[in-house]
Amino acid sequence: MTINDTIARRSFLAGTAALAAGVPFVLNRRSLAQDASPVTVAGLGGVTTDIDALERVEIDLLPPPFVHAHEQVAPGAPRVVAFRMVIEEKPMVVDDLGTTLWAMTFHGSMPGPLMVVHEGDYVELTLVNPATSEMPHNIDFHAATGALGGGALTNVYPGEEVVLRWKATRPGVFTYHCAPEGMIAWHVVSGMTGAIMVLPRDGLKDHEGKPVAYDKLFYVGENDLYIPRDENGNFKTYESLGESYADTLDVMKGLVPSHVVFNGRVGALTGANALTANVGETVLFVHNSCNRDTRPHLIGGHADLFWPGGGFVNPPQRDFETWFIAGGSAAAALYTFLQPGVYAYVNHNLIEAEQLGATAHILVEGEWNDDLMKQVVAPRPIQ
Amino acid sequence: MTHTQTIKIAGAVMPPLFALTAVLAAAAVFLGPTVPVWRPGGSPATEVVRVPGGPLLYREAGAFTLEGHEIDAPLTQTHVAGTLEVMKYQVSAAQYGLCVEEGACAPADNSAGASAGLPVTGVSYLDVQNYVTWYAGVTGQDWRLPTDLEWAHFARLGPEPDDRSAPSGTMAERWLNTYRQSAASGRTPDLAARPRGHFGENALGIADIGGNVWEWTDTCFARVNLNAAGNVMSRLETCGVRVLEGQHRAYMSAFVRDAISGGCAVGTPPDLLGFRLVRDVPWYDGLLRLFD
Ligand SMILES: [Cu+2]
Repeated sequence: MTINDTIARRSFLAGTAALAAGVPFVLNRRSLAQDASPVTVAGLGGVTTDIDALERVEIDLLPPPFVHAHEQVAPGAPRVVAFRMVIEEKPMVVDDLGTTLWAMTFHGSMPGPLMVVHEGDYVELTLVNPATSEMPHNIDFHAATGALGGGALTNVYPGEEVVLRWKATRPGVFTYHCAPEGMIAWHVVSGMTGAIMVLPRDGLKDHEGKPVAYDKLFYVGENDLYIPRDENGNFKTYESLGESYADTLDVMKGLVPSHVVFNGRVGALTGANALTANVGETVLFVHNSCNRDTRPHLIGGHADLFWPGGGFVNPPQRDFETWFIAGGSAAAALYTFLQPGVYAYVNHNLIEAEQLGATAHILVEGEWNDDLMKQVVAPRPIQ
Repeated sequence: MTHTQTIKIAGAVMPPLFALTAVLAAAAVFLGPTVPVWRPGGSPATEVVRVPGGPLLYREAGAFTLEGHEIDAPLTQTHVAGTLEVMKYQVSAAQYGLCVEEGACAPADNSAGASAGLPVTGVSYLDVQNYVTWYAGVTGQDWRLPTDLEWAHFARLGPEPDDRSAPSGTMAERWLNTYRQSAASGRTPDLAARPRGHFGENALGIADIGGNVWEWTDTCFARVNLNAAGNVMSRLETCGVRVLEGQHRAYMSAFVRDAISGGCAVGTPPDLLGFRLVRDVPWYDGLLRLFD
């Protein structure tokens, strides 16, 4: 990259540069370790941890709807859990008509990959912004404490990387997102959001405090997209991310999304991409919604347990028909499938589900239970 | 289960005059398959193809159950009795536009972007009925939509594959299988109308059968319940829903112009909705032409 290129790109993002300049965001590991001690947790006395003495694990992230291998009950003492996330700016097709979004992504996917750690673990993230990017980026973890959720310490220009470590003190499911000053909304609705799950060390518990486990985890990220249209009403395409900015901002300010999608595109979780399960399997639905409120509903099923607000310290509530996830958060619902067939997991604003894309399908195999439901008389002329 | 039946065409019961049919077929061959007809309002020539009646293997449209289990409609050996004149091409945007100009038809949904040489698309069954009335008036001929049986006869695509001739598996298994088959087809929408003739001609010289414009038929959606012996126990027709034909069969409410937004949940919806018309050839028509 030439110097002229760099200047042009940075001046385009003047608002972001101002924040970055005001904060020392390039820290080496030693200085981070010094800043982190002593660590004080509410309700406890001062706790000092020798980070270098902790076990360290490195995790390879998987794209949604999957999640990297993890243990539901922590295997031992807190660890340093290291992730490497590479930012990708790229055009992504978001529906069957070929409509293309200039997307900004964590690690190439919408939503960004689901990260799983346990309470008390240290999350160590290496955030990489390749030299081919047009924009600086950063990351704000709602699960983390201080410095704008890490956003102030993770601003990376194209060609840079940064390492952030934070302690997972609150068990629950939390959103993360890019947060460059003045352009947060644009980066988020372009795809830069995902979720992290901080499990209690002894795993999830039901409303009575008894342990519960899941056989499968489905990770669903809901994104509202604002793709501009031309004078004939057709979706526009752009040569570059920067060129799409002004038009997109105009659409965004109208607050009417062109698409509301699960996992990056209409149909990402339907048809050949439908999720699968078996009768008797327990599934944890982790749902991320960074920008707008949503209300997941499993058509033909329920949430047996739901942790409102996403926090795992609070006892879960039971038997939801539809559950609420406030914009700017992630949450988890647990369900054991009781009947085979095709289920639809939707945002139960049905306009968004049916017309704008917020639908997933789950194909469930197993024995039908006539006691729960039976078609007593097939459709016939009225007798 | 196979049986032969005599088909009603346009409400008039036609006797199975096979001998006369053969004469008409011969006449059609003698005259060549394509006959230009009157041009309304100076529009491009409406080319038609004469299709003599004949036997065909046919799977009726609609939802069938056998003892309460969903199955595909049984294949029947059946017969179309009369000769039809079938429009060689789907009705064009220009032709439909004449009806709109005269105030007899509503503009098609996508009329802004449509060019004259393309088939008209974005029209509902109800729109087509207005066109039929107008077109019959200006031509003085009884043009109408084909029935599903007639369409199957002149399309020459053969009956739809038999996925479920007998009930098998549980309701949930059939449901999952249907879903997976639809998903596996991997078909993505193709929403750009092509110039007429783009998809070629079938053996009869009829153009664009099975392209990306599905064609309205006059046939109502039917739910038919059969008993174990295959006898019809009940039959209920819902004429607010009509059968569309093309790459595969579809059922749409009569007011739907855009299948993508109006379609039902299961299966790939049609790309575009259009139509072509047919006309019964009077039994004496071929004879008159012979002496012309
Ligand atoms: Cu960003």
